[in-house]
Amino acid sequence: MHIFQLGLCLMERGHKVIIITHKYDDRVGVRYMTNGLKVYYTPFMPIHDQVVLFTYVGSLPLLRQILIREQIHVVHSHAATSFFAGELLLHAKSLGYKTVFTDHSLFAFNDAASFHVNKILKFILSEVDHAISVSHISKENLSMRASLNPRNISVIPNAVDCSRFKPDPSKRYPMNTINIVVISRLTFRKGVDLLIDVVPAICKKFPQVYFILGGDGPKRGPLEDMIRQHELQDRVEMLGSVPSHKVRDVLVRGHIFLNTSLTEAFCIAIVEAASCGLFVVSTNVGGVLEVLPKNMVNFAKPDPLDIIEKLSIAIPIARNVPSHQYHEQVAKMYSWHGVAERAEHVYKKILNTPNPSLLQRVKHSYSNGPVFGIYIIILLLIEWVLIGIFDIIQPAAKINKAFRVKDDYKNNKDKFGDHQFRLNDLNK
Amino acid sequence: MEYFKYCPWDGYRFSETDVQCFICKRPKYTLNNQPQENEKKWEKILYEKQPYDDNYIDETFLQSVVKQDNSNGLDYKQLISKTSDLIFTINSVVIYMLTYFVMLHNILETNYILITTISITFTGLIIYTMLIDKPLEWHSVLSNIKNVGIYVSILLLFAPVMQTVNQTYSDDTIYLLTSGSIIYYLLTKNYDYESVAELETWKADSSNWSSLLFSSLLASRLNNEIEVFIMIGLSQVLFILTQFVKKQIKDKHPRILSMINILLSIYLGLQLLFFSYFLALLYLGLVFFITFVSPLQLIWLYQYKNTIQGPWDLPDVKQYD
Repeated sequence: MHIFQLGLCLMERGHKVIIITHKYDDRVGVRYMTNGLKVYYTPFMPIHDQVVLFTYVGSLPLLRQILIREQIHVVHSHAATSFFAGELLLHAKSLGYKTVFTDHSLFAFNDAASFHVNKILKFILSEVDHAISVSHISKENLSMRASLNPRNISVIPNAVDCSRFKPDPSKRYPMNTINIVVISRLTFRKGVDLLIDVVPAICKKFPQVYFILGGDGPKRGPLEDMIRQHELQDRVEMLGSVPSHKVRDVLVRGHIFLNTSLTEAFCIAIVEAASCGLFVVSTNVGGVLEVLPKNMVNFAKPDPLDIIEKLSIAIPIARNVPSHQYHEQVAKMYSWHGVAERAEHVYKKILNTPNPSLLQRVKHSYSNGPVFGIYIIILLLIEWVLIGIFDIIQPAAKINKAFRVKDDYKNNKDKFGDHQFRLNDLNK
Repeated sequence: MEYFKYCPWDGYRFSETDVQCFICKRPKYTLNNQPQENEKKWEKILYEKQPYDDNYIDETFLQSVVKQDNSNGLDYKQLISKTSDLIFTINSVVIYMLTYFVMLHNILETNYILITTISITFTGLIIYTMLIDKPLEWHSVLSNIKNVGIYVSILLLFAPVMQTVNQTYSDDTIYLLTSGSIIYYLLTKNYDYESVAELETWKADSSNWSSLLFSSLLASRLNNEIEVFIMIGLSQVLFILTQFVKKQIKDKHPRILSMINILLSIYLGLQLLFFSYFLALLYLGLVFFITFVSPLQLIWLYQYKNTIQGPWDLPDVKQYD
C-alpha cells in the first residue's frame, strides 16, 4: 500500500513511476494500475513467505532491460527483508543509477536472526545513496545496523488515506457499551500475550466494556482458550482475518483502539484508528511514541498491569472523544502528498551527487569485514564483467525505449475530462 | 563547538578527552546547523512539521542506546558448574562404549551385565520417585509397569532383527557411521535441561534419534540377541531416562551431581587405562579442557562482546502457547 500510494502521488507531481516486483500466483508480465501506474511482475518465483531467492546475478539481465527501457533515474527499494529489493539496489548501483532505500521495521542486535539480517543489510546498504526511515527510532536503528551516516538518512513517516478512514459514531455497535477494538496479526510480536492478561481483567473491572478482536495468527488458540476459560463469549467478539477494505468498518464500531505491540517502527494501525475517531491506548515501544500527540493517545509500558491502568483512565472518557476533530487532526498530520513531496526532495538531492568509481565501491565493500568484504568484492567484479558483456551483446542504445503517454490529457481537462483518481488531501 | 555525545556509527560514548571514536576511528562528530535561539527546539516527533531538514540530527541522536558493560565478566565457578551437563553426557557415551567393548570381547558374562543394567535402571527409578514432589499413585505405577512390560517384550521380539539388519555392512562402515552419530548426538543434544527434562512435556528430537541410530548400528556387531537387547535398552536408559533423574538431583542436591560427575570421570578414566593409555589420556584431557580451560576462554572472550540494547528490543513478557 505504501508503494502504491507513494507512486500515485509522485505521478500526480509529474514524475514517471514504475513498480518492479516478483510474480504473484499466475500474475506475470506488465500490468497497468490506477492512473496508468505500470507494474512489472517479473517471473521470479517467491520461495517462502513472498520472498524471492537471492541469486545476485540471476535477475541482472531482466532488470537492466527494464531500467534502460523505462529510462529510470532513481531506484527506490523498500523493506530490509526483501531480497529482491536488495538485489535490485545492487544492480542499479552497478548500472550507474541513483538508489534510495526505505526501511519499515526495527531489528534487534542480539539474536541469531538479527546478526544475519544486519550483516546482509550492511552489505546491501553500503552503496545506497540515501535511506529513508519511517520514524526517528527507526533511523537510529538503521544507522547502527547498517553503519550508515545519519545525515544520509531522512525521516519520512508513513501516511494514511484519511478519506478512507472517516469516523462515524452512529456505527458504534453494540450500543450502550464501551467498545474496545484490537486489529492486528495474532502473533507474539503484536503482544497478544499481553492481551490475554488484559482482557479478563478489564471485563471484570468494567462491566460495560465490549472487546472486538480482529485478525488471525498462531496466537488465536490461546486467545480463544482465555475467552472460554473466563466465560467471556458475550463480552469478546472474535472476527478472524479482516480484509483491508473492511478495516474501517470494524474500527468505527469502537470507542477505544488498543495496541499491545511489543515492537513497532511506526504503527500505522493507531493512525488509522485515530483517523476513525477512536481514542488510542498503546504500548510505548519503538517509534510509537512519536506518532500521535498526547491528547489522542495513552501510552503504557508493555506490562499487563500498566495497560490495565491506562485503559482504566481511557474508558470513562471514551464516549466524549471528539471523533471528527481527531480525523481532521490526523488528516493534517499525515498525508501521502506530503510524503511524496519529501521523497521528491530526497531524489533531487541525490541526483546531483557524483557516482562512485569502481575503486571506491571496492573500498566500501571491503568495509563489510575482512572475509565477507573479499566475497562481496568478487561478486562486484563478476557483476561488472557481466554488465560489460551485456553492453556488448545488447547495447543500451538498441533497447527500445518505453512509450511515455503525453500529459496533454491531464492539462486539458475541458477537452478530455478529468479521469484521474486522486488521494484526498485536506491540505490542498 | 558542540559535539555529539555518541558516535553515530556504532554508538560509542565519547569521553571529554576523546578526539575520535575508539571503535571505528572516525573523528568526533560535530553538530552543524545549530538552531537559532528563537527557533523551536527540534523534537523526536512525526505528527508536526518542524522547521528542520528531514535528515536533521542533534545531540539526542542514539541517546536511547544502552551498551552493556561487560567489564565485570562472568563468574568462573558458575561456568564450571554449567559444564557439568556436557561432562555428564560425555560420561554416558563413554559408559555405553565401554559396555559395548566389554560385551564384544566377552570380558564379562552377559548375565552379569544384564543384572547390572537392570539394577542401575531400578536405582534410577527409585531415586526419581523419591525426589519428585508428586505423591505415588498405584494406578500410575501399575500403568507404568504395564508400559515397561510391553516395551521389554517388543525389544526382545526385535532383538534378533536388530542383530541381523546391519550385519552385511563392514565393520569400518559401521564404526564410521557410529562415530558420526555420536558427534551429531553430542552437538545437537539440548543441554538446557530445565526445559527438556519434564516427563510430561518431553518430546524426542534429532539427538535422541541419533542415539538410537548408533546403538542399533553397534548392536549388529554383537554375538547374541540378549546382548543386543541390553545395548538397545541401555541406550534408552543412559541417553533418555537419565536426564530426568539428573534434573531432579541437580534441582535438589546440585553438589551431589557434581560429586557424581567427578567420581564417574575418575572411574571411567581408570577403566579406559585397562584398554588404551591413549584413549584414557584423551578422555581425561577432554574432561579437563571442558571443565577448567574453556570457561577461562569464555571469560576472556566475553569482554569483547558487543551488546547493544535500545527501544527496538522485544520486552520480556509471559507467553501463552
